[in-house]
Amino acid sequence: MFTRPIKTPAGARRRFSASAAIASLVTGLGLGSLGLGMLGASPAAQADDYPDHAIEFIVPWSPGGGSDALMRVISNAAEQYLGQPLPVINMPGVSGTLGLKALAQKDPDGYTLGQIHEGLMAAHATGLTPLDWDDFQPIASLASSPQYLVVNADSSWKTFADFAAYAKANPGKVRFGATLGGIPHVHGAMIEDAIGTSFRYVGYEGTGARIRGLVGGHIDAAIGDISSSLGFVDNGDLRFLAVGTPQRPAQTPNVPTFKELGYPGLKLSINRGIVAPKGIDPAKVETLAADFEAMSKDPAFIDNDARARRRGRLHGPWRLRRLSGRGRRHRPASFRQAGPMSADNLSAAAPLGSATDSTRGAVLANLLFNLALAALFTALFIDAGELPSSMWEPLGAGAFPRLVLGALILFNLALALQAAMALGHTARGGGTLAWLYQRRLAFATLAAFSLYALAMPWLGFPLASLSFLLAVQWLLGARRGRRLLVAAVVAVAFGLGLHLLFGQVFQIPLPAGRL
Amino acid sequence: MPMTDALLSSVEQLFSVATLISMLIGVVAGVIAAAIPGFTVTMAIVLTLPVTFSMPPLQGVATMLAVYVGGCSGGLISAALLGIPGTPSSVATTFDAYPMARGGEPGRALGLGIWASFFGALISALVLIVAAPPLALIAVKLGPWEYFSLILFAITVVASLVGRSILKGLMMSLLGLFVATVGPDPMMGVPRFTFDLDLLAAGLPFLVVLIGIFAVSQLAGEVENPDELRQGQALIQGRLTVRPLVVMREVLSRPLNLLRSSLVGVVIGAVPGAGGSIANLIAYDQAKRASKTPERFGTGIADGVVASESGNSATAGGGLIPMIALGIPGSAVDAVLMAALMVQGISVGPRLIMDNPDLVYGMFLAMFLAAGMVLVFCLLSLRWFLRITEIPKSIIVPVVLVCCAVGALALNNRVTDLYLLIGVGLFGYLLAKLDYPLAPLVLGVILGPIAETNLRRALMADESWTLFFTRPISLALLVLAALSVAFSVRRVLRDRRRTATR
Repeated sequence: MFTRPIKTPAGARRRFSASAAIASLVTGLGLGSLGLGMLGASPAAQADDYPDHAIEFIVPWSPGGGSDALMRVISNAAEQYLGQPLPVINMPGVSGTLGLKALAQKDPDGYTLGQIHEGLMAAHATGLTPLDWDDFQPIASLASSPQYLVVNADSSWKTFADFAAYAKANPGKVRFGATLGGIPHVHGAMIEDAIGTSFRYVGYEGTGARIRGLVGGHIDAAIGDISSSLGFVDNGDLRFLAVGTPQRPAQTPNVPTFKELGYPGLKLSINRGIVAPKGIDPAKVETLAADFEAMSKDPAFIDNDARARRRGRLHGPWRLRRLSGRGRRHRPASFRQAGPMSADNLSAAAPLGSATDSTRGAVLANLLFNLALAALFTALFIDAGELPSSMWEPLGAGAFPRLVLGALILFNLALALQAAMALGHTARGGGTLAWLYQRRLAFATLAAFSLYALAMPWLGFPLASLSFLLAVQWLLGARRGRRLLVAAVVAVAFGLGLHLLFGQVFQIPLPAGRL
Repeated sequence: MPMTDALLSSVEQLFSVATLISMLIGVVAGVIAAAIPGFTVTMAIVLTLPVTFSMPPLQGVATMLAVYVGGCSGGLISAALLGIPGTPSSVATTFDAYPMARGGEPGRALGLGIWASFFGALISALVLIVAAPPLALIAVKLGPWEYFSLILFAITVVASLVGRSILKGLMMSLLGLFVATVGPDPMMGVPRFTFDLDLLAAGLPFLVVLIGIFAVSQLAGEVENPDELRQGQALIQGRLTVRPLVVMREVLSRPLNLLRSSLVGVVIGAVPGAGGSIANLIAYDQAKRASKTPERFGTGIADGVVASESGNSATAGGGLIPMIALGIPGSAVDAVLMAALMVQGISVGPRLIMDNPDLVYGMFLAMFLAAGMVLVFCLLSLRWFLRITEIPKSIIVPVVLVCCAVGALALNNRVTDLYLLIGVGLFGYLLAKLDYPLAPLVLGVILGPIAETNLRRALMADESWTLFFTRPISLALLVLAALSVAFSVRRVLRDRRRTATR
């Protein structure tokens, strides 16, 4: 539905120049540079009957971010060239590695593609994921985004030389914003090495947050790009000192390159690409690559002017590997995994009891619950001691959880004490069994819901939902006659209806099941 | 372009038939999406995004704003009728609107909420026009120290707001903070407390916690009584009459509450990242403190509904402030809006209002227009929404559970999130039975990563702890946090003395 092909040439033109605009903002360079990044595959025959249905496109980031927006533009335009829709599936988590892990595990049948960027190399180097660039088959590489060294306009550093001189004379003084363990951090380390100093790193989740910190004066310098920083530079809030491309990018003709300044080693850019799981048929790679190539070369896709100004270069993965070597050299002191632990599961913590009536059973239940939690948190507190400290910050990964867990232990002990003191004042109430029996339908519903979740991967969404809806409605009283009929209608309508709505209209596939 | 020209040009673009129709569809979609537990405004907006690619810039943004404003009001419906907040920003709405609906006045609860939402949105759009640039400074001037202190303040507010024991409230907040630490750590991605389980590898997404804690435990609570169910009992027994004008007068008779809550919503909503989810709670807290009868809050009174709903609707305008003035998205929704503008080739940054004044004024007007559309649509469809309460529990409980499952699945496309949903739901039911307040837990999960990141960031920028106390805004927030704990301890002690003397 949302990948419907463009009908009118005028509409197509507007949309495509819009695409170029987002690419230039999001990645710093136009989609004119979208091209082939083929590895090893000799010109092979293209697959004739491929694709014959929708190709899922995994974006390992949350909806709404820069990478996501870029991929939605491509997805929207690609249908015309691929002949099939390319729905975006967001699979965020763990610095983008979860989505890529899911992608690597998919069948290499050409119906699942994904987006990748150099962050994976850093994540691999720091031990976050065993996956590496080599685990995927490149299809096309997207524009590479030039990275700038940015400082606040209020600072006394007018040029990179000023900055370098200050940093060299004051090691550890410059507060440098970076995504710790990410590519900007690697870039920061490269600048550190080049001018022979050390920075005080301050961690931010992404470029936008980092630039916000720089504008607010909470840090002194950061790595930024066109989309996040140019507006602030034009507005007089920030200043670009240098850019990491070999030539000056067209948008910033007055910003010198590190190469011009005598630092040819400082090549700072971020590259993105489209990849498939390893083992995909080379003929399919050829088909996809040719289609993306045609899309990038279509005169309607990007106007000539923008194309001339924003032409980007293709980088092969070899460049990324070199970068990852750097990442390895600057890897954090230790990345030990938290060891397995045999503490109680949270949901199995304590028997039930109602505290709304202050019966003995209820108070006892509260007491046991708080004691169990206190024990659990003590175990977790000890476990958190295993978490690595960090060479860049005073607090490591374990400090905040230990702070919280310590307070939780105290609070639970206090609550347990409160309950223990109340225990003497309570009257004997009804039995626990009677209490549980009274709520049997609630427990049965929860049990059915659990079964429903467990069965979904096998039964698939429509069948599992249909059975669940029917079973619970029967359980809750739709036993015969008209009510049973209504229950059946509701089960079919929602079981199948939601499946169709999400799968067909929203293009968010729900589990199909293995049956 | 002079301001009047820009304004006229935006009026012309906005009041075209195509734009009005797409906005109307957006409003309806937003209200319905947010009304279904498990479905979110963010999801609705992300699904709208590709549709706007082929529209002119203002029409595209106006349509998305319509979905957004609709969504801010739609959350009211499930919060009031089912007691399930669809988004964190309608958590406080469950405190009074749900008891009121349960007490037999579902029409009044919804009507109050709809009108309060409308006025909240109006006030926030006005503030947006008048004071966006100065308020946007909040977005950049708040450093990591201020953020951490703000979160601490918000947590103490929530902990003292609900339930009868501040100890239990604080315990739940801390539990939420801990739950948020499961998964990759926010600075380096080091796995924490995952025990090598795929289930926990990405942590517990806050939406899964929100749905699990509120929806699953709430719905299980609905089906505890076998006798009621056998008779096919519906959720609410009560009059389904709605008198829109009477309710409007009831809302307008509380001008101070309305204005205060809306301003709190705008200002707190302008804090990127944290504002949207805490503004409604702080507005509710302020209304309670200012009230002559604070003890009646939480029992289903009009003041509570008005405070929460005008507060959360005002955050829609508040969240736009840093985006329009500086190009800083305040929430996931704003990030999608920004992406939509970028697709149109519009650079969103500090120069947006200077380079594209007609677009910015168009957005302001679209906020007004969308608020009006939401009001009309909600009032017209009120009876239809109220029919939900006539459906027997035996039907609505399983159907809403399935919707929750869909919401959890569609969020990140992970089946393991469904297992988490069930685990969290069972635990939430247990907590509810043990008389623990659930709102602090959910807020803790949302605010945990922000608190941790900013604490660590503050110490990375400067190793000295004293900055938390020497930076004026940070100190003020910490004092407020201490006061809110002190006040509620005093309240508890006073109540205890009163019951003792009686």
